[in-house]
Amino acid sequence: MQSNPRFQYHQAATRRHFFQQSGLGFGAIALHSLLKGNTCSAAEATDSPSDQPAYRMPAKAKSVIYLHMAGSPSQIDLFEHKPELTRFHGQDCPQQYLEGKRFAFIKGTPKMLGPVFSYQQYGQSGQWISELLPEFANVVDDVCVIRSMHTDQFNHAPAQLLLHTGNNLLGSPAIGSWITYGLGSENEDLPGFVVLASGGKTPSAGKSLWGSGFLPTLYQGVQCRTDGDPILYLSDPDGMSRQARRKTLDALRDLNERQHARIGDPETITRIAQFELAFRMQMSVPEVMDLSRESQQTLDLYGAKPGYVSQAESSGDPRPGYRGDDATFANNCLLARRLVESGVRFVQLYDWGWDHHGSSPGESIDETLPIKCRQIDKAIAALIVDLKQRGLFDSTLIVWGGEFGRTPMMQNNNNTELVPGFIGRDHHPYAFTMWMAGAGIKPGAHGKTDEIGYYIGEDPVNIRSLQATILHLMGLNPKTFHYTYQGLNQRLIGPTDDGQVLESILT
Amino acid sequence: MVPANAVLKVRMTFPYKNHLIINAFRMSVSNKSPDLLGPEIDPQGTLRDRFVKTIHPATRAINEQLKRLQDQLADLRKEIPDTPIMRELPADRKRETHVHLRGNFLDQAKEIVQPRIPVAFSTEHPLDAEETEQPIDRAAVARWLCSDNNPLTARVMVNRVWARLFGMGIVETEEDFGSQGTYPSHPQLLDWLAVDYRRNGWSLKSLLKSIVLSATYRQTAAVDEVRLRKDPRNRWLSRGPRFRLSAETVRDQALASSGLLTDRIGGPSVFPPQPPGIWKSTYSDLKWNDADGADRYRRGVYTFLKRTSPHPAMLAFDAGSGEVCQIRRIRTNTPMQSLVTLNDKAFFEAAGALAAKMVASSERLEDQIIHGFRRVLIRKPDAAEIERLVQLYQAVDEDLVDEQLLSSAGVQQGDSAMIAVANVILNLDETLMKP
Repeated sequence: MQSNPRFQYHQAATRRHFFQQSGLGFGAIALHSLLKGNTCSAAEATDSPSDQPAYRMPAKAKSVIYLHMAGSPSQIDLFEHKPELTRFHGQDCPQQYLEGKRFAFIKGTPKMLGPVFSYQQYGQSGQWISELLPEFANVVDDVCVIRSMHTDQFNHAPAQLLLHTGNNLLGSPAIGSWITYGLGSENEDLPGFVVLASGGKTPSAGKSLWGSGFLPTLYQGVQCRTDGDPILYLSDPDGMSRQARRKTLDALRDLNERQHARIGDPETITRIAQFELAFRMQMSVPEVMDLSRESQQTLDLYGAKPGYVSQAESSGDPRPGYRGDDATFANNCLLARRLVESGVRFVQLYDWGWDHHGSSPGESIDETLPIKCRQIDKAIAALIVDLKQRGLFDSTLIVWGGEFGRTPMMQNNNNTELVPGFIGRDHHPYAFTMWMAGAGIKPGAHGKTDEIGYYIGEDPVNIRSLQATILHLMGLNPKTFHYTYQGLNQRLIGPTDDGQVLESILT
Repeated sequence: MVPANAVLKVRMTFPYKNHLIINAFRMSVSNKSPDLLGPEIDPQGTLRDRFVKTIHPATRAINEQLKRLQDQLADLRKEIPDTPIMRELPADRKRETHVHLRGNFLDQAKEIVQPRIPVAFSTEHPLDAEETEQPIDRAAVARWLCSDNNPLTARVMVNRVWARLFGMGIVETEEDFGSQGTYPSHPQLLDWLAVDYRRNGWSLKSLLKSIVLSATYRQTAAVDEVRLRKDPRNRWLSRGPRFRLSAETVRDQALASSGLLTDRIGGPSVFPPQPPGIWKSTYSDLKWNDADGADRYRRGVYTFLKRTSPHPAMLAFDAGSGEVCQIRRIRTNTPMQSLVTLNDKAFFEAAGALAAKMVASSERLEDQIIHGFRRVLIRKPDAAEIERLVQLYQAVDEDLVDEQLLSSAGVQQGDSAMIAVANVILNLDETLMKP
């Protein structure tokens, strides 16, 4: 069919027709590459040089793997070596830190809570890393730790939305949607923006975190699942064999072609192509999601287990069931590498269960944080090592972090004394740690907090600058890349000048 | 009534802490009619009331009946949904409204603004209230919206109706008639329709009639190369409308043509099947339990919508999540849509029901296929179409596992090859497109 000249003519006509119909301007060109799955950039796809989208720039990264620890891990117990905080441990928090502040749960005067775990310096860079991340510590020279992140949201859902969609309210497109809208996909048989979740729950803000907002729904993130159909509706109904599906699709195509001969609507040709793509996805998606194709060595590197289905995924409340040996996150890291290898632009991982308030079992710093760290530590280190081995590290941007930080004080709504299994910290938007690695990132450290890790001391980084940096590395100018909606040129980084590319962490 | 010689036992409990024991009280017994319970014994009338309601046989029966009827009345009242009504705040409690700098609601200017219509509208079409110096409140805006002074409301409405019928508005950006929107393709037509609509007392029915009976609407959607080149998007209405059905109608049509649709109107939202494991929301114990029976096949508009986890089949067909106001849905054409109409339970069960109707319609295979075609497409298939589906029917049987397929299609028994044929008919481009 591909060689039929009439088909090709119409296919070309269809594309043009389709972008015009969707009325999307430059985005339509991206749509073109997403739909047709070819590797040409938006600029190449246009007819004349004057059509070149102004927002395209040379890119350092081809794809992004974003590892989001939903609930927000404690930077104080993982990255922030604060001997001074240890000195104040158990004392009342000075009033100057509390006046005019709102916390999610802390009331009155809480006690200071020193780092619960011990620190050591690692690597050439001599970065302080907690004992909870021994494997990550081995690759710390490959990452840039940003210790001076801050946000203006202190509840999970709005903070997650601000981080991933640029707006603390619902309804704006996710970074992955923006990027696939701007760049298209590199693989015609896979979606350009894939989401993988672990930890038993979706993040607080739900599927809005990978929604396409005001962009066409084509750009929404596609959640690939490790339990059930990897992509929704991918499996044929029980009893319909592969051959039967092929035969029905052949009949469907023949009838649709007759329809096209009668009516001449190019949209019909597009639909024929989409049914064929759906059929190919039924093969390609399970293939890319099949971890058993990896060598035992690679599986061991990540701690991945093919076919593993976590109990946490099916239980109503996964927290009490957290075990160190849950392999879902490790599997997802390995899947992320497979997806990136297959040309997926943006792979978003969410791991739920990092909200360690200490107010109920399964969410404490002293008991649960080590368990969650065991689930991610090896896999994250493996991801970096594996990407390097395969020569993908230089073209893949890895981002790790939560939606905010945790307080240097203990949370005191349930306990005023330290009770084992109930040691927790509240939400802390004023300073937290994230790290980036891979394409275009200069390893090292950026920013500092004060002596007790409460406020930022040097080089603050706001959420918009993080977003600007990600877009910049992907070859999209964060300031000019926009979509016109409700009379505004909407940008991921919002209308203000707050978002600045973090030049100093770039190679 | 206490029978004669009965023993009266009085038990007193003091549900208080031990320092609150009543230490001086009187107890009276009487054999007189309760009517004589005077105010000095029963000052609140509570004893009497209890006697009438629960003890005296004649009044007790009536009271029980009364309670039943009252409960019934309360239940009936509950069935009537509440209608929230917005009311203007009294003058002394009016909210102060500030300018939001660059549209940011967290960044408010000091300046307080008074209620007014944006200058862009009001210079040409002022608020009546402004001229008559009446208070500018919601009522004034409502009157302005549909006053003869203001052509915008009728234009916008007419344009939306046009867009639903033709797939694209005369002003393509239905949501934006302002400087960022697109120009109308036929401005005079838009104005004529708007004025006519208003003159007819804002009658949607007459508006719909005048559009669908027009020669423009009734044109064939077929297009040749010349017209496709000159009018690729049908902006100049060189042919009849042809576009994909909306998310809800894609579902409704499959259910209706297969005879599964429950056409009940109204009531609470329902939970038609969706793949397991979709709802894993934090802080919520709500579970999605697939509906059985009539609620499984309600129209798409009745599907429960949770903004953070909308029904995936709806999302695939460009229905929004409800997070933001969405006046126009930009139509896409994706492989995810193909997977939904091929494999989603709702669509496959529709195939099962359609196949059953096809088989029951006739003894002859060809007639069965014609019947299915007509149910879905309201036309007879031509000879080649019949032949192609007969061929599929004969060829596909060997590749189907009957029992499993019937179960997937939600039927006890049936012809699984015909289900495969029905699945194809329900997935035809012509099926998914209007007309």
